Amino acid sequence: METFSVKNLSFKFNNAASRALSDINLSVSSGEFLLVIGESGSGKTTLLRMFKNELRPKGELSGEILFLQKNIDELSDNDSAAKIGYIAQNPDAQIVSDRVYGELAFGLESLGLDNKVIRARVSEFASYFGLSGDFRKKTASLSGGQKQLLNLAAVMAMEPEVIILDEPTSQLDPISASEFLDALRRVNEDFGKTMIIAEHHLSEVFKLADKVLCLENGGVKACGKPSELAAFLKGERIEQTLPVSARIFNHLGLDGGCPLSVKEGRAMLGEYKNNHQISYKEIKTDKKIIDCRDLWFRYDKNGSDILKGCDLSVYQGEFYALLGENGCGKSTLLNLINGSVKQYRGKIRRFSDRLACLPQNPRNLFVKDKLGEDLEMVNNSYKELSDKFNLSHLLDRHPYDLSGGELQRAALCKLMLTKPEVLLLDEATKGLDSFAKNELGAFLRALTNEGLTVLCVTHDLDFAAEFADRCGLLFDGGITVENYSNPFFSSNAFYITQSAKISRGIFTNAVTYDDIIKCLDAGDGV
Amino acid sequence: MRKALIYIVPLLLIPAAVITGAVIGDRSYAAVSAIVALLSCVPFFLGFESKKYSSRRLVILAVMTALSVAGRFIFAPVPFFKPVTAIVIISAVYFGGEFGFLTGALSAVLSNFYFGQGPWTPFQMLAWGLIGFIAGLLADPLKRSKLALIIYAVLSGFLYSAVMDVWTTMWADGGFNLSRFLALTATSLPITAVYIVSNIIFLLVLMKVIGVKIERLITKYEI
Amino acid sequence: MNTFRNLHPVTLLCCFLYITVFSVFNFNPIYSGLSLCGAFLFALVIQDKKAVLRSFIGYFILLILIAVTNPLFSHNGATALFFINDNRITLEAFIYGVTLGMAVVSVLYWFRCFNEVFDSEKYLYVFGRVSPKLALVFSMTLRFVPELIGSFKSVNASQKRFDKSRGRLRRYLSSFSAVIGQSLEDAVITSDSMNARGFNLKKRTSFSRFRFTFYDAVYLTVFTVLTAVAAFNTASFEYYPTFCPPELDLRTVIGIISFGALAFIPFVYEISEEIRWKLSLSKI
Repeated sequence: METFSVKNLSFKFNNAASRALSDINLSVSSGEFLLVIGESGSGKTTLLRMFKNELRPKGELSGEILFLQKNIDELSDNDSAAKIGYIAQNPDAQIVSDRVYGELAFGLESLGLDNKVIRARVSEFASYFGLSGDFRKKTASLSGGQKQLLNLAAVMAMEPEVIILDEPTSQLDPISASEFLDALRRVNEDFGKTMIIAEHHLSEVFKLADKVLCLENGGVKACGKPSELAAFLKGERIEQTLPVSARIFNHLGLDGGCPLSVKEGRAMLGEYKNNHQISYKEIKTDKKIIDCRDLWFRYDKNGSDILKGCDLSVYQGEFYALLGENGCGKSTLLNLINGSVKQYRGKIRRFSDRLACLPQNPRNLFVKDKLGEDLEMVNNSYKELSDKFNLSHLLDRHPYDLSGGELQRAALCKLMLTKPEVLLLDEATKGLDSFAKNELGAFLRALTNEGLTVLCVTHDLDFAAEFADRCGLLFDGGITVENYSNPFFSSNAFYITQSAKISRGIFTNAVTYDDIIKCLDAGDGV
Repeated sequence: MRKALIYIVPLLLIPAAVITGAVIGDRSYAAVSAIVALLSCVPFFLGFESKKYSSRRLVILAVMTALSVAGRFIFAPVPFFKPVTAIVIISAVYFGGEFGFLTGALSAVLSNFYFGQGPWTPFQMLAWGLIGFIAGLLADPLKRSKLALIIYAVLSGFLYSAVMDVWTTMWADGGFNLSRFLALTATSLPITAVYIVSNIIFLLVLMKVIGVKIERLITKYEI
Repeated sequence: MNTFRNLHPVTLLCCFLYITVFSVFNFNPIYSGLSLCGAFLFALVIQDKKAVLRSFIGYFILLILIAVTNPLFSHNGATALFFINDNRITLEAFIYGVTLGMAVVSVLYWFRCFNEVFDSEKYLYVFGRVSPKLALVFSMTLRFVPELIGSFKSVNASQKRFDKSRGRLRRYLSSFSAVIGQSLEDAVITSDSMNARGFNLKKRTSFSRFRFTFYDAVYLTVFTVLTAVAAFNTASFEYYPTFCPPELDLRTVIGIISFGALAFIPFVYEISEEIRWKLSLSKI
């Protein structure tokens, strides 16, 4: 039975010149796991919102959408709310209640169910998703990953037929993201719920999907099984978001089933083993710009220590990536260096007082109603820099209307107007798609070449491997591993990029896709 | 019916109750007046269950209330600067009198949830609620003229401290005592003055800012 | 440990309501004294002891202030103590003031205990009975408040860098307006998430994890009966023109005992539970 069947669907927003969706045909069968991919602005969110009457944007719609073989417009409000679950990007803003159990009960309260039924359902799903220990907690005390799990549990408690997820992991760190995807897989397998998920980080989710739909400019570019689709997308711009194994497969021009997992990727790469060495840039200066010695810090007098004798030196002009798990104290260390909190023991020497800090939520940098006014506030002659960051066409926009990548560029521009010598970044890649991430990385690299020092706290291993000079791992209150990016990622066992996992023992120091390709190309010549 | 109650209760019944109390001067009047104050909020809260309160309005009500409560924490380093009254007025001007009353009354309950609930809670609910409700009736002039806004800020400052002084008198005397009320009003005058100045500053700054943001939301999301 | 606060919200609310309303309605030095003692002892066991004792000084000053100022504003009473500017300062007005002071302070103490015992979940329960949507707004506001303070701090920290020249108040105001903008923006996401889960479809119900147990029924009955008995046997107490204590007949005594029991139940409950807990430990 088909959960959804879409015929010749087109959609145009009110006041828009062109169509946001055009001529979409699609069928999603019951229990299917459908992945929707496409660049920003390709219509992923718009398409997903078509399936949910309550959230459908205003505009002209043509074609038809059938839900369980009935036109979706004829679906009763009750069924639309209960049968079709929807989870959006932002884990925080989606939460309504201040308590975990209140959130789980929200949908059931809306359906007017009585206390007894709600109690039973809520306790069942809290335990299924491992939230029983947090049942009475405040929602604010949960981590981002737990919040998104709570959102999933709250939707599941309404016992939907299908769950629609719009980039649910984009705001999560990689470990929480894979936990969340794992929960999705379980829900899909244990209950046979149909899943429709849009994502832009595909390395994990791609292999979970039964079917992948690729959108381009509001139309269907391709639709098919993951491995077939991965091969089909060879040479397209979107290809660079695919799992590394698939990209290598496409690069090698092989036939047969396209590998998607690390395991398959290693099997494929094994025969190309060679001795090519990836070279990397070593820092030539020994001019320290930040020097932390023996830092101890805790938030509460009676709390436990977050930093326990942490040492960190950052050199002028380098790009240093500070890695570590959630809650390991990365952001705290950044705040200490920034001077917004103070250590109770140890010393921080800053050889420049021109520090600028990009907060986790770049939106917090903006206070005006137009981007231009916000930049002008810092410096009247912002034009040159705004051109450099490719913002000139956005100056009249409201900062909150910018896309994730644009907002990050704007934030960078605003900070650079204060002419800093050191730039501190907290989770700068959060919520960015691969293209925006690469663009941000390129900007940061260009700035370090001009002499700026960048210290970036991040979960994003690929980003660190690709752009950072050196990486440090913060664990148990101190930096336990520190090295140049290539040896850092090739010598670690767990904390490594997917490329490094695939190439480990096959190529030396190859930690990014580009590294692997270089090794392969060098091998061809032998 | 409910609509009529909304106008009759706060605008007629309560002043009537206060005056009667003042005349009779019964000592249990303090408790009775608190209950009357609380009851006067009921018609507004009853309106909640109607479908008129869409999710957007409801969330915005929660946001506005949270802003006025959070504002008390945020501006704590600046003495006597509390944005509550200003936010209640703004919320009434953009979303109507009933909405303003609710913002005010809820701000009182919620902020006392953090700062301590007491027998003063019903009076605060009523004072801020009324300030919001009347601001909603005067939305047009308040939106258009800065002078009207300043006058209303001054009046609401007096209204708030008058209601709270009535409360104090009743609790300190067990009934309404005019001479104590006048003495209290005189002693609290400097605080009322600072309070009024802060109201004016908040209103002049925030009215336009919030106005732009709300209008942006209305056009972007069709609230 | 099963403490007084674990009783059902309705039971608790009734208990506090009965005691405070009774304390205010019946101006009588005996009632006020009992109410004050009960509240003070209860506060002492449920709150930090040092803080309660420290607070007592402030409340005591308030009591004295009311007792002393009452004769200044009220000149009823037959027994003149002395005159200030031709105004009679009477003994009766002073006694009235002391009683009133005790009543006010006892109510303040009961509210202190109420604030300690009645947490957000209980508010939510009570609002949920009146109006589920009201409960929802309450819950959302509680969620937003800490979030707004957090984002204000972050915005303000960034703003410090951008305009060092401006004063603190101006920076606070501009950061605060930015927070307003953000929160209104996020409100749209929240309301979408509510709509997606069927908000406004039907009359909402309000889920709560509280269960009205047998013990709640017992306690609620006890509270109600005691209050009713006390209310029907109140001792009338006249202050003006001359101070005239009630006769101690059976009815008055029953009234006083009932109210005394009501005022001391929270304290006794808390203490006995603690003893029971310790005994149960020693039996292991």
